[in-house]
Order: sequence, then structure tokens, then C-alpha cells
Amino acid sequence: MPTSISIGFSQDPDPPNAILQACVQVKNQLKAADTDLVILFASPQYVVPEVQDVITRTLKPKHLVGSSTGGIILSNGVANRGIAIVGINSDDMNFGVSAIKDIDNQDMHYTGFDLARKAAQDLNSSHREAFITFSQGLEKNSSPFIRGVREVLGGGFPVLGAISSDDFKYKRLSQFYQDQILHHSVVGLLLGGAFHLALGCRHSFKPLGKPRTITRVEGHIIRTIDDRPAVEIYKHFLGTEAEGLKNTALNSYAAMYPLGSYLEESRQYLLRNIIDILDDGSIVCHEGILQGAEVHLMISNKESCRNSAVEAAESVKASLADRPAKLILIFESLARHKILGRSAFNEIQAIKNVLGNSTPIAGMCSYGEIGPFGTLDNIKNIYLHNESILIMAIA
Amino acid sequence: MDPTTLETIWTLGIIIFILLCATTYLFYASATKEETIKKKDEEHNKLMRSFNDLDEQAKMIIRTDLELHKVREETDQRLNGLNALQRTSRQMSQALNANEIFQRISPALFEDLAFARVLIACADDKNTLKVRLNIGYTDARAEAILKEIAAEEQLKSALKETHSVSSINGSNKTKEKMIHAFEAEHFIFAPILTQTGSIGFVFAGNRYNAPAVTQGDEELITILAGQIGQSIENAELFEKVFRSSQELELKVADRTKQLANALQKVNDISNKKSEFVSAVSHELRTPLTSIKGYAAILIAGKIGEVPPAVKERLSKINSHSDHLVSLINDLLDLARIESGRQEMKLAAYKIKNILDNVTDLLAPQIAAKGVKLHLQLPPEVEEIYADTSHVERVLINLLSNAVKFTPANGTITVAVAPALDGGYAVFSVSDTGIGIPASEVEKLFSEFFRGENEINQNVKGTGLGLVLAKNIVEAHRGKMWVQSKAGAGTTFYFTLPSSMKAYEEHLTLEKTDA
Repeated sequence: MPTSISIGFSQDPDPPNAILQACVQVKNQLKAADTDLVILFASPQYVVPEVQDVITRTLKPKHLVGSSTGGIILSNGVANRGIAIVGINSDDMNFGVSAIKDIDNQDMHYTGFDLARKAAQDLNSSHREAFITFSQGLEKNSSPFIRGVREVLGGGFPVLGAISSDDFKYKRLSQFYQDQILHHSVVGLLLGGAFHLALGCRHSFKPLGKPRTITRVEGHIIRTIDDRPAVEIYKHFLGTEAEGLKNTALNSYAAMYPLGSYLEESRQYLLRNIIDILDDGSIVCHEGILQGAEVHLMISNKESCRNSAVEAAESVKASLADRPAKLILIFESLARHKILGRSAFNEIQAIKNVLGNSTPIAGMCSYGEIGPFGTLDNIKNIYLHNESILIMAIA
Repeated sequence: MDPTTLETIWTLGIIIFILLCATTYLFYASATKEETIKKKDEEHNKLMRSFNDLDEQAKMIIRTDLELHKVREETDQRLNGLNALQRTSRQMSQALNANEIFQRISPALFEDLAFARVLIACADDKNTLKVRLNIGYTDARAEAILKEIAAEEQLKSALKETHSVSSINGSNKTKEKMIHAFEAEHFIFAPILTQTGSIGFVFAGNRYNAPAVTQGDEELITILAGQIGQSIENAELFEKVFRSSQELELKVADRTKQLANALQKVNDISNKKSEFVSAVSHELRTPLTSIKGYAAILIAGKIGEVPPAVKERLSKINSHSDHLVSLINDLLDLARIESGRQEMKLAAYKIKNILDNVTDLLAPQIAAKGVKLHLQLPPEVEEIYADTSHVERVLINLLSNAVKFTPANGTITVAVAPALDGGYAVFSVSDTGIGIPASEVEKLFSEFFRGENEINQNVKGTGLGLVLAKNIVEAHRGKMWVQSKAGAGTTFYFTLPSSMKAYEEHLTLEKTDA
């Protein structure tokens, strides 16, 4: 049996109905009694207890992973509300899934190690191609996690992923694993078998103003920049708007102006969103920036976003060579989606213009994207990115 | 001067010279370095200034960008809100009752408008406010809010207003009460208005630390409240119309039943009348036959010669008896057809044959009267499905009448054409005779009616011929009607089925209608 991929989507106001409708669409296209892999993306309104029950009864998935999201990416645009189900049946591909629950107080290195080990056991094949994770909590300390995964799967192994998102409230985050809805957890999907994975990862931000130096860091909390409380950099640029940053965090304008730290090794700016501001003016980020690093406030616009999406798609196309893609999977920053606003569909159209209109597209808007800079050719270092777009193509 | 002293002086001079040169060099070098440092400082300052300028420019870029984002975000939100409102309005307009209207208001509308707390309340039949939609409140809290509105004068008057109150528009006191009652700092409160006044409200708001509502938000929520009011009125109107229509249907059904009963009674009476006429006619025909027989015997002189005066009277008895027999026969036929007892021997017949038979039969009369007879029989209507003896009787009746009322040299035309709706043939018998006054046309198919004209006064008739003809045509599921104008001739029309299929289709249609 060749690889069959189908995507179902519904926005029916009644969540169980919507799930059923999406399942039926997948089932009708796959025309199979059961499904090898289901990837589920659901907006918080559609994360209801019935979700996996309906999917299990309808699609009988052997493996299921997924995440809540504030935006579901589809071929015709980005939907803020609804449920999307990707069903895959294949003789060429193998799947292994795993989950580690309640990771907030766990050793991230061991979490990564354990997650990869369990997924590898489930895959039951020596041919491994990529590891994809959906998580909540990983964003605070992803480096040891990635190290742990790579200890099992190999030093240069592609580790990709998306941080679960919601509607910028950070209250309704979920991960899906088999028949369970998890929170504060990480789920892993190990892909193996005979297929080609192409990847492109870009952000669209450019540095603004003079360079500053991170002078004190504690984990993912930046205490001072140029020996002044870190928040001063935002106060300097945003003026009165900075007053609201503390309470509104990511859903505020701060999400549109992340911090960018220049990485000599990749010659790229690694972006960091601020997720909170402490009383002493320290900035809490998704993952930290090294002390002594040069830092800028970064800015982007719609055109730049579209251009970076096209660049990422072109990277994917180059990697695919002439292989026809069967599925395009996209993890994109929710904050980036906020910048694009109503024209988000233009970005998807731009990607389709590069990769073709016929390949189905699915994906999610996330609070963080895990992947290398650029393509899989440069896979030495894997980072947790913010404000980026990660395009994967399975061929 | 001793040489040693001289040497010392020379040495000292050389040292002083060297010192002077060194001092000059050092002075020069120091001046040059200072200049370099000064230059470097200037460059550093310039660079710092550029960096600071860059920062200031960046600040301006960000603030401009922020303003643009704010405008765009508001526009996007407004557009999303309008889209959602349009969807909701469409949904509500399809609802047939008030409950359904509120069920059709999707919580997604308020998510698109970025409201976390929503309360919609509307008065029930007893004019008591009831919660219809609740987002972000517990049921108990929602009920408590309604009680607070009922108890608080300021909130009650806001409910009775024809305009909305919001956190950016309204008196401070009312705003404070609203914030307290609904536990939302940023809010819009729009009354649901109908022609009879306010019947409820739509509240949408957010707790503290949320972005303030905009004029656009207020407009959208006010439109929504207006749409709800309008939809409720429409639903009530629909319900009234629906109820009236149901009542009307019941009345029509009742009246139809009454009419059907009345019709049944009329039919029963008519049948009884036919039976009576039939019985009486039978009873009359037997003695009449005897009278006629005895009169004939007397006229023939079989029981002795009778004087001419008696013979003349006997002839009159005979002729009147013939007329009575004819009348009784017509009455008997009519009664049979009306009661359905007359059996119709339906079959397909060539129209030409029927017309030939009839014209042959009437040829002497036509010739005697000196009128011309035209037959128009197009090829597309060849046959009829009928009882030929009865059809001939109809045609004989109509043609006899035509001959009777058409003066010499007049024209009689018998034509046949296919009916427009197919399946039937239309016969017409036209004459250029004296015509029928409009006042008599309506009565023409009434039993025993005879037109008041000179011809009728001189020629005997029963007044049953046309009635009988019409009954025969109707027994074939056909129709008969007349067009006439006094002095301009008369045309009788009647229709007959062209085929068995057409006849049966008509029967089926009659049963369905019944």
C-alpha cells in the first residue's frame, strides 16, 4: 500500500459533531478500516473529553499525537477555531509515539532521553528519519531536552517540534497522546521508514537600534541588559505602551518585538519572546540567552513574514529536488500569525506558489518552534525558536 | 682654557643640544598623540551619536509600527466582528421562535469580538427577565446579576433606555453600577428593543487588565441587540401568521366537510327525484300506450267508421300522445343518466362514421329547409372514445335545433378540433340562425326551458333535449357550453375523450380532486 494522507477539518459549533465530521472526511478519503497515524490539531474550544473517543471509534488509529493550538494551518489559510485531523496510512513509513507527563518539575535531559527511548521502542525499526514533539513546559529549558533526545537517536538527528498554544491566554494548552488529553506534558512522534523529509526554517525579523549586552541571566530569566533592568529596553522603545507589558505579556505588542541574540555559529539572530515581566524588571523568556550575548530588539512586517515563508518553502523545494511531496506540515509562531492578521492566508498561498497547490497542508500556530536554522543540511544545532516558521515536507 | 675644561664644555653643549632635540621631539610626539586621541574620541563620540540616533530612529519606527498595528488590529477585529455578526444575523433570521433565536447566537461571535463575559437576558411570557446566553459567569452569578438589575434603579433605567451604555460612554454612576454588577471593567450594555419597548439586554465585557472597548465594539453589540429584537418580532409575527393559517385551514376543512355533506344531500335528493321521475314515467307510459293504441284503432275504423270531426279529434289525441311518449322517454333517459344507471358502452369510434350517420339521418330535414351543411374534420382528430349511440343523439339534437332555428339559405357548420390541453376532441355545431338572447343563454341547459321565440311557439318540444345532451357529454367526462348572440347565430361546443387513456386520466384526476 502506498502512502495515503488525508486531512479532515470542521468548525461545527458542536465540538463532538465537528470531530466526527473531520473524522468522516479522513475516513472517506483513506478508505481503510484503521489508520496508522493520526495527528490532531484542535483549537481550545474543541478540546473536549469526547475527542479521542470519537477518533478511536471512527478512525481506529494505531498512533495518535497532537496539540491544542491558537491557529490551525490548512491549505486555504489559518483558522482560529476548529479541529483538523491528519490521517496517514503507509507501508513505507513507520511510526513510534511516546509521552512524558507532568514535565514541569522533571529533569529535562532525562525527559528527552526517556521520551526518545520510548518512541524508539514503539517504532521498532532501525531506520529513523525525524523526531517531532508537541509540548507544554519544554520552552523554558529545551537545550537539555534536545540533548537527551539526541543521546538516544544520534548527535545529528533532526529534532523538530511545536510548543502547544491557545488563544494567547496560556490557560488552555493540551497535548494529545493516543487516547489521552495531557497537560504540561511532552509527546513525541518518531518517523521512520523509506521516505524523504525536507525542511525549511526561517524568521522574518531584523534588528533595530544599537546593540546591547545581556549582563545578567538566570536560566530563562534575563535580569539585566547593559546593567539596567532588562525591561528598560522595552520601556525605551515602546514608551507608554510598555506599561501594559507586565499583565498582557505575549498577547501584548511585546510579541511583535522579540529580543534577538546574534549567534556567530549560525550567523543568525535567535529570537526570544518575552512571556512575563517580574517586579524587579527582569524579563522571563522562552528559553534563555547566554550572558554576555549581543542583543537587539527585533522588528518585522507582513511583507518580511511572507518573504521568509517563501525562503523556507524554497529551501524545502530545493531539498525535495524532484520528489513530489505528499504532505506539508507547518509549525508557525502564533505571534507571527498575529503580525499577519487577516492576511495570513496570503502567506499560505505564497508557500503553495513555491511547493505547488496539490499537496495537502496541515499545521499549527505555536508558542515556540523546535528545529535547526535553515535546513536539515545544517543540523548540528537544534534550537527552540520564537516567531519562526518551520515547513516540513514528506516525500 | 684647559683642554679638559673645553672638552667638558663641548660635552655639556652636545648634551644640552641632545636634550633640547629630545625635548622638542617629545613635545612634538606628545602633541601628535594628543591629536590622535582627540580624533579617536571624536570618532567614538560620532559613533555613539550615530548609535543613539539609530536608537531614536528605531524608537520612532517602533512607535509608528505600533500605531499601525493598533489600527490594523482594530480594523481586523471590526471586520471579524462584522463577519461573525452577519453569520449570526443570518442564523437568527431563520429561527421560528424566541428560544431558537438565542440558541443560534454562537459564542464564537463574542470570541471574535474578544469579549470574555457575555450575558444576554430577555423577558419571558410573564415579563420576567431570563438568562438566554451566559459566557464567563456561573449560573448563580448570572441570576444574581438579573436580581441586581431588578433592584437597582440606575440599572433598571439603563435597561429601559433606547441606547446602549458602555465603559466609554454613559454617566459615571451608571458605569460604576454596571462594573460592580457585571464584574467587568470594560463593557457594553445594549437593550434589546422591539416596537413595544425594551424586552431585555445584551451585555458584553471583559474583566480588568483587558483592552478597552472601542466605539466600533459598541456599534456591533448595539446592532446585535437590534437584530435580536427584530428577529424576536419576526418570530412572533411568523407565529401569529402560522396560527392564523392553521385556524384558517381548520375552518376551510370544516366548511369543506359541510359543503360535502350538503352536496351529498343534494345528490341524494337528485337521485330520489330521478327515481321518482323514472317511476312516474314508467307508470304514465303504460296507459299512454293504451290510449295511443285505442286512438289508432278508432281512427283506422276497426270498430266502425267514425265521423270526420271525431277522427280529427282522435288524430289530435294520437299526436299529443306521441309528444307525451317522447317527453316521457326523454325524462326516463335523463333520470337514468343522472342516476348513473345508464350504462355507457365506451369504445373507440371514427368521428367521420358518426358524423356520416347523423348527417344521413338529418339530410331530408336539411334539404327541406334549404340550409347548407359544412363538415370540418381535420386529420389529427380521427377517433373518440365514447358510446356512439349517445354521441349521435347529442349531435342529432344539436343539428336538429340548428336546422330548426336557421332560415333558408343559412349555413350550419359541424367542426371537430383537438383540445388545447390534448386528449380530448372539441366538437362545435354552428348555425347562422336567429341566435339566443343573453338572458336565455344561462337558462339554456335547465330542464323544461324553451326559448321564447316564434319558432318555438309553432314547434312542439320537451325542453329536455339540451339537458339530456349535456348530461350525455358529462357522462363521458366532457363539457358542453354555448356561445350565441341574438340575430347572429349560435355555436354549441362539447368535448369528448379522444382515447381510453385520456378518459381514464380524467377519471383518476376526478378521484384525486375528490
